Amino acid sequence: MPDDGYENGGGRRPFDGRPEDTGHPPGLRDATRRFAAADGVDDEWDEWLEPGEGAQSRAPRAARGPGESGGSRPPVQGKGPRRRGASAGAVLAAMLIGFFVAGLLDAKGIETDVKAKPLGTWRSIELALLKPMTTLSGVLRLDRPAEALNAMLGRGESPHHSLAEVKNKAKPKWPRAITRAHPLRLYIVGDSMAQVFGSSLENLAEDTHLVKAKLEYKISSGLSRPDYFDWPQRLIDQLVEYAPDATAVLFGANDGQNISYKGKALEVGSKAWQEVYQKRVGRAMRILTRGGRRVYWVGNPIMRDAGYRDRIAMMDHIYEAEAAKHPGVTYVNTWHLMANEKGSYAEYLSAGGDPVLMRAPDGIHLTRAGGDRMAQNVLDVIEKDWGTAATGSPSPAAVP
Amino acid sequence: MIFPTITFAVFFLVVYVANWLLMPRLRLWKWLIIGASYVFYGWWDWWFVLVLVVATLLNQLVGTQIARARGRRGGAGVARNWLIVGVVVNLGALGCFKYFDFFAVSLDDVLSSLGLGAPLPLLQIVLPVGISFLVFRMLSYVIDIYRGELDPAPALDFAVYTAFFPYLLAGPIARAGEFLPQLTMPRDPHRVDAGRAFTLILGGLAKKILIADYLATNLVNGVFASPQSYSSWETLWGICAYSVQIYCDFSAYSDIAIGVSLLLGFELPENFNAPYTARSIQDFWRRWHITLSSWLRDYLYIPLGGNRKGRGRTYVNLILTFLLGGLWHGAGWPFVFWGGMHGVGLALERARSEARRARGLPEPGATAGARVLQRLAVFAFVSVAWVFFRSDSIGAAFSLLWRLVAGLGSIGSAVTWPVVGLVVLGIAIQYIPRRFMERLEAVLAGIGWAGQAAVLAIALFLIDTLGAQGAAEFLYFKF
Repeated sequence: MPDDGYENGGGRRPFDGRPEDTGHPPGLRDATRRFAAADGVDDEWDEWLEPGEGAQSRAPRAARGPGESGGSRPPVQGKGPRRRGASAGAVLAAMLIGFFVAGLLDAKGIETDVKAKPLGTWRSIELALLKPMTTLSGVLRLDRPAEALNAMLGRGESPHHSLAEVKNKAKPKWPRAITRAHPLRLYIVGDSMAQVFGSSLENLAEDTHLVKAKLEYKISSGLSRPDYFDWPQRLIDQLVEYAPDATAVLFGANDGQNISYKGKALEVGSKAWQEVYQKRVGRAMRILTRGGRRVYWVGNPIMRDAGYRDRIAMMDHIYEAEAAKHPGVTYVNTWHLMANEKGSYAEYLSAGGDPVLMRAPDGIHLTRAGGDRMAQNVLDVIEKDWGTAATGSPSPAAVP
Repeated sequence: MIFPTITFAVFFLVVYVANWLLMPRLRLWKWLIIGASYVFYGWWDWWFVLVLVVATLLNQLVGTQIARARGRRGGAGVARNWLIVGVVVNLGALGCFKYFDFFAVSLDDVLSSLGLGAPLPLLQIVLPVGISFLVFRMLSYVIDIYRGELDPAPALDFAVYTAFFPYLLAGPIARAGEFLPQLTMPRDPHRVDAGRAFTLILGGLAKKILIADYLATNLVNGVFASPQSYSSWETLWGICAYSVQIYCDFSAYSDIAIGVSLLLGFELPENFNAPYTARSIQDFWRRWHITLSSWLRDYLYIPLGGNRKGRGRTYVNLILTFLLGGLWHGAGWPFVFWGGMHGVGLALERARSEARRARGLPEPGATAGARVLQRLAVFAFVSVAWVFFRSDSIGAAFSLLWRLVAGLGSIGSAVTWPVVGLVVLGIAIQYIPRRFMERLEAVLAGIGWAGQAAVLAIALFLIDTLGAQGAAEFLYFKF
């Protein structure tokens, strides 16, 4: 075959494991050989990594040129049975058609993902582009396999509980004696911030043996976007199914985005936005305090980036104001707890005299130490509220 | 930008078309790949692109200066000085981004215990994604030039090598010597290895989305975050599930990177070879993150003296190499402990092997039963080591391991049939014979574009529908 000027085929025979051509680019082969010779490599030299018995290397040992150190590098290239390569155009056709048909089969799933994105121009453009796909998918009934698969996996809409059912359940008593036999049932709930904070609280609380905690967090969720995740409904369901005595809540990290309300997009931070958000917080509080339950609404800690920090501060004020209006809700401020002595954001805070990393590199989330710091603060509030000592053992008043 | 997203699919289609259209005009093509790679990397933060540009300019300067000095009589000293500059600048950048706070806090702890508290400023610098992979590539480039194994590449080629987007974030660590020669001639548009590429990409997506992400969400994250809430049985499965998760996550990235490169006409080195079938720790490191272990061997273990300076020194070199390998993964003592475990494990294994040889005993593993036991032992060792790798602190890792005995009693409900099935599947796929996979690749290559389109459509649909909503980042991005 004449040399057609191409490297990965054409005039060159592709690597097929024959000794005269390792298939390695010449630079590597020469480099390896020179390296081996320069350092006086002996058999034992690279015992550490020499392909051992049973290793399924893509390049057979026989493929290495004389003088090369065996197993010096993983093979760059290797194919089993020789086969014809495809043309770039055919591969493009396969990809375009493959992606398009996959898109039709999964149009609704893709639409769900796009709908979960923050409200804005890009989301609208993506949804507009998807519209013909979802329509075509429906017309051709290509959405059926996905529906069948989801039904098979039990992913269909499960029946929800109503707020009336929460009331009908046995009322939790507060205050009541907390004992090992009758621990406090604590439901911890929130967004990605609650992932570390919640598990810290779960660990610290369970260590007291007086609390049975359940953590539930959903990344990227909050109260701004019930179309993405309907937290109020979820809270009702959990109150019926888990029947907690108290709930610790941490929302807000994803809520600094526009809210869709009655067909309008309310700009984050605007007066209308604040009113709607306040109503949603109030509703969540009313749900969670149903039947006399206790709620510990945890404010977000100080954040690094100025704009984001301002939005979080605005939401913290809303939580605090709403908590004051709802009996049974205690607002736990963590802003200053996670700030340095000057009141500014700091990755490292002093813990026992030593600087300890408290925040994740994104300037938002917490490290385990940060989660523990916040959780201990919240646990102290809970223990005080239920009359258990700070040490975790029941206070004399609480022991029956 | 991450692989399993529609954004990447659109980006890749555009790059793919431009790649083959511009391929005959190599110079223009190189600019295209550089631009595409910068967009890919800058998708996180445009500031990261600056890191790439600076790395390219600096290392090209160092590389050419070393080569120039080497070419002059008596220039060895100058070449050596330039090498020192290259190593110091690269490691210095890595140190600043990754380790400054770790060392500052550790030093502060030591000084405080001596009553000499001298708080150092702590700067939590945003870590450019995959910076250590970049530093590995840069170091291999300047060191290979110094060793005379490589000639400096033309600046444009080197910029492509620095930024090539498929391996940019999490490897494989392609060495300059194996990548740069592929840039010298256009790739053949009639020989795209679609069979292998599609097998690797679809297999990688399935491993990542269906196995790794499911296990992470449904057991691993919970067990590692709140060990107290889980029983011994759940903890045991949580540990095994993490071993499977990290394999299915990291090897998936490598597979997809290799597959994506193949579609563009380029070969990347293999990075994983059925690691949990290993019968010794040494064998494990021939199969796990191969491009890292061979990098550590060539640029750390061998310069330290390897096994040429006596038995005692060999053990020290092994342990030291792995301690540093552990530290490479992250600025934290759990990583150092993890590396130390592997280093000590390798040294002990070697000592045992030498002792057996001295007594004229054969290598163990003669019977099938013994081989099964060896594999189980290696998997158990590696899994316990992963506990340290995954934990926030050494104390947290021991707490988790303690749950294996302290959580007896109730079995708990977290170990579901899908979790068990996926853990078993994640290990079982490593026992699939290679010739079977090669056959599969050949079949996929042979069915033509229409057949490939059908396979792509069905596989992508199944992976996306069966997987959870949203794409999770790959674990190795942070390294």
